[in-house]
Amino acid sequence: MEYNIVEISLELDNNKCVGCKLCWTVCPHRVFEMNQGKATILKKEKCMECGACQSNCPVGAISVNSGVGCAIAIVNGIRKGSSPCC
Amino acid sequence: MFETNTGCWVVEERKSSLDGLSLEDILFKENEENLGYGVLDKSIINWITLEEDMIPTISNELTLKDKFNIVVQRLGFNRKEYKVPSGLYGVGDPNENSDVFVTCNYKYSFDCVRVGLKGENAWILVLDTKGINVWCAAGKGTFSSRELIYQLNKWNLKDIVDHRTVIVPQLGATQMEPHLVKKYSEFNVVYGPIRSEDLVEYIKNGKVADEKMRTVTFTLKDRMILAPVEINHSIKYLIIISLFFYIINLVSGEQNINLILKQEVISIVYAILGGTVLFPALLPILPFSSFSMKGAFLGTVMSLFVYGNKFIGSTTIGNMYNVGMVLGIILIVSILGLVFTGSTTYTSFSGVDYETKKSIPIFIISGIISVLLVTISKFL
Repeated sequence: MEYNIVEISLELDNNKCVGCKLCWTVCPHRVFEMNQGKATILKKEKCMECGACQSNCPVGAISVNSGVGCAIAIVNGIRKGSSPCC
Repeated sequence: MFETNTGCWVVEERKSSLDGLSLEDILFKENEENLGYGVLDKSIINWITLEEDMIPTISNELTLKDKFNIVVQRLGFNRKEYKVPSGLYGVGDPNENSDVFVTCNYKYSFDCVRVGLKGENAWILVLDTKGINVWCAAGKGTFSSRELIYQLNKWNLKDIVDHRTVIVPQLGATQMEPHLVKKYSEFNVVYGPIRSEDLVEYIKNGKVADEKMRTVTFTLKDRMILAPVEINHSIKYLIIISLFFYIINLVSGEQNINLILKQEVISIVYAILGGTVLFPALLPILPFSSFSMKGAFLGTVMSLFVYGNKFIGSTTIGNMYNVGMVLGIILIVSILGLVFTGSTTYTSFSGVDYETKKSIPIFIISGIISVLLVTISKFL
């Protein structure tokens, strides 16, 4: 099942990648693959922007607009004037 | 990450959860909750004495009470209070060479892990996630590098095991920074499988997880198990809406108040069941990417199925009422569809943010129109 609403914000800087494989390990939807010792994005459309890859990358090669894809949390954030929370 | 004065946890924009924090800051916790081991009652087998600490060893079996409580959790009751004390536990007969498995303090998760480690001799390190499961807590930031470093230091894992590895569940990775955990605790984070049922095989394979163990699913079973909680959360809205119908029927002098009210309440129950049971069941085949649109589609089909023939031979006032009810049913299913984004395993933050902000004005306008049509039709 896919969720194609807007462009997924996931970006990977291949030059910074040191091939530690953590992004590939932690991704719950197997978005990354290892190619000649470096990570590449294989299935960007499957990305749910959880941010695990970004957190685990030791060299900051990954950026993503991470958060929880939960409407109630987003509504709470709007009501309370903060970022999404539940 | 901080707790607001309304009691909700907010994750700030951050490069790292530990930016600007010293080890002293990380190791200091204000107002730490001190839960007793009472909830684990009959599951504690014995106590290991380690210097000043007493570590409980826990059974791999669930008691009848444990199983009953799991059902209670799945029905959506008492969820925030179902937790175990954070800290160190043993299963089997662990020693200084045994693996350390990390989990959260939601008792259901803890139970899954101790059952999943049946036959193993291991340590279980429980992080304080305030009774929230691993993946949600990881998203919120309570299952994080900071909390892991805190517990590793608090329980002196360096002195308990000779190795320097902790096994974190894969879904705990969201706000985990292995390079920082190593820096502040000397421990290396490795990631275990997603599901606790795969733990034994993971260990047998030399702590290697295959693709299946590393891929999250959202099967029919995964989706339907969420339905009771969604229904539970909708009950208060059923009561509010039923009260609204009761009042307008009473005030407008409706002759057949019992019959009409019954039909109206059944319509709302029908819409709620559509949004909480049918929606997750049919999710893969509902058209559109947007969940609110999927809900609107399902709501349209459902309402026309019941109200379709009521339009034939009806008066203008009658049709005003029918349109109001149809719109109300579509709105309820659409809202519940959007709410379901919080229960899926694949909706992206950007996407849900976008469709929520687009949907809310439409929900408000539709709601007002629906209420006006139904109310006015009763007074005419």
